[in-house]
Amino acid sequence: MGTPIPLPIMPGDLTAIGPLLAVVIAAAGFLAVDMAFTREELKNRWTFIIGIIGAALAAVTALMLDIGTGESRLILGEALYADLYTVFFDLLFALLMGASLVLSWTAVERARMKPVEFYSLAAFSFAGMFLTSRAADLLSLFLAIELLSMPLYVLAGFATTSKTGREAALKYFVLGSVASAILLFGIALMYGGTGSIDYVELGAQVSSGGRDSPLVLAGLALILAGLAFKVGAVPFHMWTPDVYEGSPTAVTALMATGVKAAGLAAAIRFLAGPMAAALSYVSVMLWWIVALSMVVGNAGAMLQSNVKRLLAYSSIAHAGYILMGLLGDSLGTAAAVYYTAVYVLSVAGAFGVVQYFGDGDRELETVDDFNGAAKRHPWISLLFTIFLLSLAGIPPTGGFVAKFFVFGSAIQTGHIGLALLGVLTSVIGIYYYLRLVIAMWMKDEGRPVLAELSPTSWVVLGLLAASVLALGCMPGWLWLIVQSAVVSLV
Amino acid sequence: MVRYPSAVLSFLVMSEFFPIGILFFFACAVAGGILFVDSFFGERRPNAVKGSTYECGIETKVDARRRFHVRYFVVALLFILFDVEVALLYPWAVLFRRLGVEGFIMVGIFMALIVDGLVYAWKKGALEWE
Repeated sequence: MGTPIPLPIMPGDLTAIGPLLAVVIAAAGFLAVDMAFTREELKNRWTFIIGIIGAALAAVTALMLDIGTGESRLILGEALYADLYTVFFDLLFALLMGASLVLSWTAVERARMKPVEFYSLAAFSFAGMFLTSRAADLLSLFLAIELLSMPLYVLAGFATTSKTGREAALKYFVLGSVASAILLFGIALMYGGTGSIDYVELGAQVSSGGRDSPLVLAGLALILAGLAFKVGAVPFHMWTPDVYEGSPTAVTALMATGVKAAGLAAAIRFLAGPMAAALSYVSVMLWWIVALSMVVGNAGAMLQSNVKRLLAYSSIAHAGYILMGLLGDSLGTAAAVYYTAVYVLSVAGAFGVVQYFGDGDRELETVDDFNGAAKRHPWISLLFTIFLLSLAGIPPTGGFVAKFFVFGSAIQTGHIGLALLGVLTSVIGIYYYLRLVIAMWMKDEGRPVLAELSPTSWVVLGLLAASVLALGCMPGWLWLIVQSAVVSLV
Repeated sequence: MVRYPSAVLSFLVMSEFFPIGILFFFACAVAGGILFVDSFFGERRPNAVKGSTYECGIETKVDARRRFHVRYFVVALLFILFDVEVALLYPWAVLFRRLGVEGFIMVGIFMALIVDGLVYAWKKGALEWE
């Protein structure tokens, strides 16, 4: 019997991963509910209760973190971070989990999925999302992204009666696995070149002569490619339209909001955190990713008649705008984080509305299906319009302020061409978002049917719309929080 | 320190992966060499039986692309789950005393999550063969 080995767990570490524990316990709780009850109503009721408690606990434990003087703290054997940045994304993901429970319920049942099974898998995926903003080394990063992706591969094909769902699941699984392999290969090369997987250590090595090492350069490029796949940036975007269109709408909503935000949270921590020195080596690659994402995403969305495909292409474009922030200084990084928050709120709202249109088995899919929606359902159309205007970047919504911050920082750091391209492509964006708005408000024919909206859905949709407007009219408070969160990154 | 003309060359010679490179080279050389020599000196008398597909000496009956029952996949999944579990438990068992009560609690949480999954699979009938 040798000397006792202390575990690398300091007091306070468990509070720091509180949100993660909350969703994992909720996920296990869903499984227990599925086993404990036989009647569907009881299962559904307890699923909802456990989900809401899990999301609320995640938010509360995120707020309980002692951020001290605002510096990053390494926890659990230096594998994870705990700082304002993680608190910010924890709150975003907790909000998404609550919104998904309330807004996706109808769509989950319409696609003949069992809510208890759907939300159990979704909760495991959320656990991965809570990890992405925390990752402090390359293995934590890989673990987080895998934990996030695995349940989603299953969820994409979870509506077993849907042929397109199966196709989407297979495409997502095969391409996602290749992306994970690329990411892991990049991690291996980085480790081979530096002998470390720790962000802080890597940052020090890279800034002192990393350019001389072909392994480090290749590793960085491959890791960036893997992350670009997860956020759906061009040229790693091919899967996005097909998978978004084929998956059940409830799953698409999760992919467009949570997965995207998580991938961006990981990318921002990786490129603007302690590894910031590495950014200059891959800035040309990032420049092209940003430029192509904006052009291909917006041009592609213009050609779509299917709403889910349209939102898929627009999400590619938004990934480009957000990554543009990383090319700037710390203000640009803050703009990227701000943009991510606005994007997530707007898309969560937009998909929240899309999920309610349709009745029985049928969903409203094409733009023409929304013709005359405002005459029959004026209030929900108004909310949808607010979310679409925010995505298009029209004041007084948060989308305008976010674009303003991102383009402003790009201009200040000398990327004037990129900022011009961004403004031009935003104009294309206005065209296809307004097509939906025009269909709703100015066309007569068509009879869009709305599923019954519960009072809680009205409250959640209203809150999302109010926050999108608030971020456009009073951006100051969140902008300050985001800036201090970004300062804690480095 | 010796300066090598290029970063790639310096990496190749200096790194600890150099012996692996030698091993890789000889593995390719031996395997490729035998095939090459064989194609020159080997005798070739093909017939129908020799040319047919086989696996482990068993004659083929049907096309390889037939569908398997889903229960094989379920069993394979459960097998991997417990395979990984044992792999993770083994280091803990070796250091059982030194990790103390804290380690016991951590592994207990880990086991509880996996047992939750097993009970779920059991309840859902994943272990029923017929």
